[in-house]
Amino acid sequence: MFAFIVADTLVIATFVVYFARWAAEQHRLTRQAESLQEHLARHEAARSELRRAA
Amino acid sequence: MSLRNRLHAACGLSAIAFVAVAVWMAACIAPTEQSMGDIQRVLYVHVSVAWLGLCGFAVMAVSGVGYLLTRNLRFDHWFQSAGELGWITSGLTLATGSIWAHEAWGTWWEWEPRLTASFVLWLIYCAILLVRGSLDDPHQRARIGGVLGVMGAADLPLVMMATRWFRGMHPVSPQMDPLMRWTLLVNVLAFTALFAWLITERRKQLRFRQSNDDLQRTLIGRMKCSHS
Amino acid sequence: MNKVWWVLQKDLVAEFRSLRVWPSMLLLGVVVAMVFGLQMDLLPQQKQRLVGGMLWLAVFFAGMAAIERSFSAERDDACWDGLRLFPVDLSLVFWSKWICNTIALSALEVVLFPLFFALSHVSLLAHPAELLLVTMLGNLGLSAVGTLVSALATSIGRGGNLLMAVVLPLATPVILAAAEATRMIAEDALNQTFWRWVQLLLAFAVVFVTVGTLLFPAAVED
Repeated sequence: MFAFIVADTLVIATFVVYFARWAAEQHRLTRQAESLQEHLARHEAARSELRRAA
Repeated sequence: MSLRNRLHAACGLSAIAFVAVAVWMAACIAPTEQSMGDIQRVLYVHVSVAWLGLCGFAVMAVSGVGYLLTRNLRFDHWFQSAGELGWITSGLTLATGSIWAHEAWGTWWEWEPRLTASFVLWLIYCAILLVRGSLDDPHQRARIGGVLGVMGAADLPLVMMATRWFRGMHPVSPQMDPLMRWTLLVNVLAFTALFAWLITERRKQLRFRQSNDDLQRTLIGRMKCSHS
Repeated sequence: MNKVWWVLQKDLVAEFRSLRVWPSMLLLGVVVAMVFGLQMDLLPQQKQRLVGGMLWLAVFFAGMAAIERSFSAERDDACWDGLRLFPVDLSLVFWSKWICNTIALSALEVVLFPLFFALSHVSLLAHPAELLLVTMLGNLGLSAVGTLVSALATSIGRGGNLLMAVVLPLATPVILAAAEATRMIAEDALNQTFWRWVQLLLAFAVVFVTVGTLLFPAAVED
């Protein structure tokens, strides 16, 4: 039974680690997307300001 | 949370529940094998990951062809996610097989045809993923992957043939108790469901990353424009 | 076919004039043979079993060092762009490079086979026709897979040398088949299994020439 437990734990643990890495990456990408959108909005605002001043 | 995200999460949770049932069946329901005893229970998970290692390669090769024909990076996201998970499962095939070999034959490794063939499969995965990891341009990465994926898919049947002849024929399909067959089937299906779910999620994530990169590039472009 | 011949002729003439690749390939082959020979302090029967595998590994490593560079000269001096300007189908370029590399491997074997014979005293010439068949088929297969991967490697420049690591796993069937067939020749045991290995070598060559012809245009893009 010991070999079976080791083998199944190994397989499932690997999938869990993969999923954890996936979740971390997803978190990073979401934050990156938010900050990029913010930058874009700020850039747009500054540009329209400039256009109005001109 | 949108409806679509909820649906994805529900798929994932049911795949995980399915895997739990499968593991329980392998541990408690399936009858103990006469000659080998409980060691034989490794078979259920081992066959499942071995099958997934091959599946991953098939998905990879098909999406490689898809990219080469259409030059659409969507196929490359499939390629990358199937490649990663295929690499993991074929590595797990070697590991679980090794555990079984240690218990059943008394050695960790034997140059037996199937072992040799899965080792070669794992090496090809390694090489493809390493080369792709060293490239920055997404289209170049996709093109290299596509060509190598097709070459690998053409090669694998020959590898299997060669390794089998090299070490003589072994009996393949042993007699099995019906309950064992059912357990094996449930295990294969459950792990396949989990694998498919992980692939689709990873693929979605890669697409997300692509769109972030594109956004970043347009932002940098605009900044350059407004400064000059 | 005529066009294949032109490109092939160009490659061979360039190689014979500059001697950039072949001498280093031959030297590497001799060194590998020496290393193997030093280790082969065995009984004659054991040598007979081993010599096939060692011979083909030496051919593989020395040959790949040459095949790896089959496109680098084209890229260096912008010859590639010149070649593309000619009204030649790209797959024909693959065929000529493939034949050129096969010739290179044959040249390597002309040196290595006598060398292995001298080092191991295993007679490989008991069945010359069969040996020639096995060698030619092995060369065709090895150079087909090597040429395609080397085209891919040169097209990505930096990072391409990592790609040659994929050749050994891909070439496993050829190396196994050629080594086993050569062992059977050395042991004077030409049975049905021998002919099966020959079939496998043929199948490999056919598969990879087909795959190469189809994928070569995609492999050499910039």
